[in-house]
Amino acid sequence: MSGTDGNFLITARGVTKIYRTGQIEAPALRGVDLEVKSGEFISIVGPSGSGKTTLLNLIGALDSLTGGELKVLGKDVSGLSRRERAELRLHHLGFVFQAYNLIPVLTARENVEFVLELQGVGRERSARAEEVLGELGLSEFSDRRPLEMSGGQQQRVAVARAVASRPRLVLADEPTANLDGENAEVLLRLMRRLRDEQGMTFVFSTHDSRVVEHAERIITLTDGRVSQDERRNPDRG
Amino acid sequence: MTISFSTLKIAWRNLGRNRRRTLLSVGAIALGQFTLITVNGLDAGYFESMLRIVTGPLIGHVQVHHPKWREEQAVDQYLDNLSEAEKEIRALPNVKSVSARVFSAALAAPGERGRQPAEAEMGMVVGVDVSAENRQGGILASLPPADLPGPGSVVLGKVLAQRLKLTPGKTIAVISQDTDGLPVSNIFRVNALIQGGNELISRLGIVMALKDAQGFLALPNQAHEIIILGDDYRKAGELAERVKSLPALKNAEVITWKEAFPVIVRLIGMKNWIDLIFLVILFIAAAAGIANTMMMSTFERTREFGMLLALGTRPGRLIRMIAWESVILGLVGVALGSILGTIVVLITSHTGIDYGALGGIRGQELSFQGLTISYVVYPKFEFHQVLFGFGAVTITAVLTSLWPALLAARLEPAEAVRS
Repeated sequence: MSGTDGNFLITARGVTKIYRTGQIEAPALRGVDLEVKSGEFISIVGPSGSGKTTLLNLIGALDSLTGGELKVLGKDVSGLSRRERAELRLHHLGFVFQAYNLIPVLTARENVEFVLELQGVGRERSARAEEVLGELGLSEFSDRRPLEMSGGQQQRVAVARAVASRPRLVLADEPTANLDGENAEVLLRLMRRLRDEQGMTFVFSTHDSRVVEHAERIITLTDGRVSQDERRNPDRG
Repeated sequence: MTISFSTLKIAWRNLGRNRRRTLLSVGAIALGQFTLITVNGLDAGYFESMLRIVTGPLIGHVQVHHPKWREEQAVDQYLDNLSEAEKEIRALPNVKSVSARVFSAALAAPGERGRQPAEAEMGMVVGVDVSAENRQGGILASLPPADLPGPGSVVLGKVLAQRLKLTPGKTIAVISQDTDGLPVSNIFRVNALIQGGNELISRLGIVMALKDAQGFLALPNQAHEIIILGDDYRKAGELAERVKSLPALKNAEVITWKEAFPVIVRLIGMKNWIDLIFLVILFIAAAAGIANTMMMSTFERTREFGMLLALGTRPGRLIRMIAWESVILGLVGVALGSILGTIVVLITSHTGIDYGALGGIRGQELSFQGLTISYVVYPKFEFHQVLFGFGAVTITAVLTSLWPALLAARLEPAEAVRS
């Protein structure tokens, strides 16, 4: 995979998504245009129902768009089969969800290993999982199951799992929604560090002003459209 | 298709998430397998004891008669040239023993005159090869060597002896017909009484040594029946074919134990049906238990499956994960049931289960088609029943997991994660 369309990791042109329930149609995205470069740290904000999660799902090939064109790492996701979308997610994207993020019957290390195993990483996956957990300061939790960890620790393990295979793009849907201020701060610093050190691109949806403060680019969605696209230097506030 | 260790690990650990539900399913499957093994073990033990009697010295593996003997049982329907026939049979491969019998209806009365005139009773003179019949399963199996019939002495069926008020040491007068229809009579000493093995012998038997009976009935080198035991009752058909080809028996009727005692064949067929019915019950119990657990467990984890799919888990792997959960659940249940069932069957195969005592009739025996069978059943452990159970539960587990597994695999990740 070449990975980009020109210099862009994500290119959206007039992307629409309409949910249909029987005769009822509910438009979630009404024509989104967007370009994301490699290494960006982006927050998608907007009120509930504005289409933030829908947009992330489409970028993550978790859902299919109704209209428009969406290229992720140079691939037109609307033309991908179910299997190809699974392959794209597995090998090139990392996901962090709001909750229920980890496999509850596996330990932190096994959760990270699981994704590496899906990717076909051999015997070294255990060492790699330990390495990633160590990088994120989670070594002491590696043998704990999710229920034995706090919400913040679980989310950090989820980030470790998302970045274990060094994906180019990490998508996070409301990653701090269930975290207190301190844990949210730790998580965001962690993600920025990964971006800085490994050049990963982070796109996350949020309602959380603490998250927005860390973003270098803030895309505001209103009624399924991009109403504002602002670039900023988070270190300067 | 590869089965990764982590798939098995996740499947195994998932079963611990709702332990009560898992234990209930495991218990239902274990109970089914336990029932399968114990009930079939009882059946097998009962049928084997019946088969042992049927294929023992009493009926043998192969019988030879005059062609009309079984139909008419007349004294003149005998096999001629007995010594030559026995010699040819003994020369055949895999023949363990050959013994001849003669039979004749008779009237019997006490041999000593009492104060009251005695009434005669119907009896049956049975001339036997004493050493052959003294083996386990034979007519004289229960007797010590000192009580066996010898020259001039007989052994009486217990019921007949009671009717004639005879006890060992007394004499009995026997009147019968020879092969020319002429009356013959003699007085014999009663050596012992017998009961068990054969109801006919118990009610009517006047059992004497073959030579005595042949002399009494004027059948010097003849017999009505030759009983042949081979090395394996299951090969009776092959043995019968070889016997049929012998020159000394070219006009004789040669039958196997199955033809001599056809009801046992029908009973064995019935046992196979009983086995099948229990297998079906096990299928249903396993299917209900596993299906319930897997459906509940799958629906509860929709969001988790969505997350797994979102991470890039292929649907096939998700199906395998759920199927393995189901198979492990079934195998744990069937293993538990197998262990318990095997222990119970192995213990009772030594101690026996006295159905008579359970029904308040201790010490009695069951009469079936002229054979006397003990009420004490020794269950038999049949390993193939364990394998059938494992096979049935594994197939059921895979089949019942398919629907929830396919539902999970077809989830749209975005929708499932949102659910």
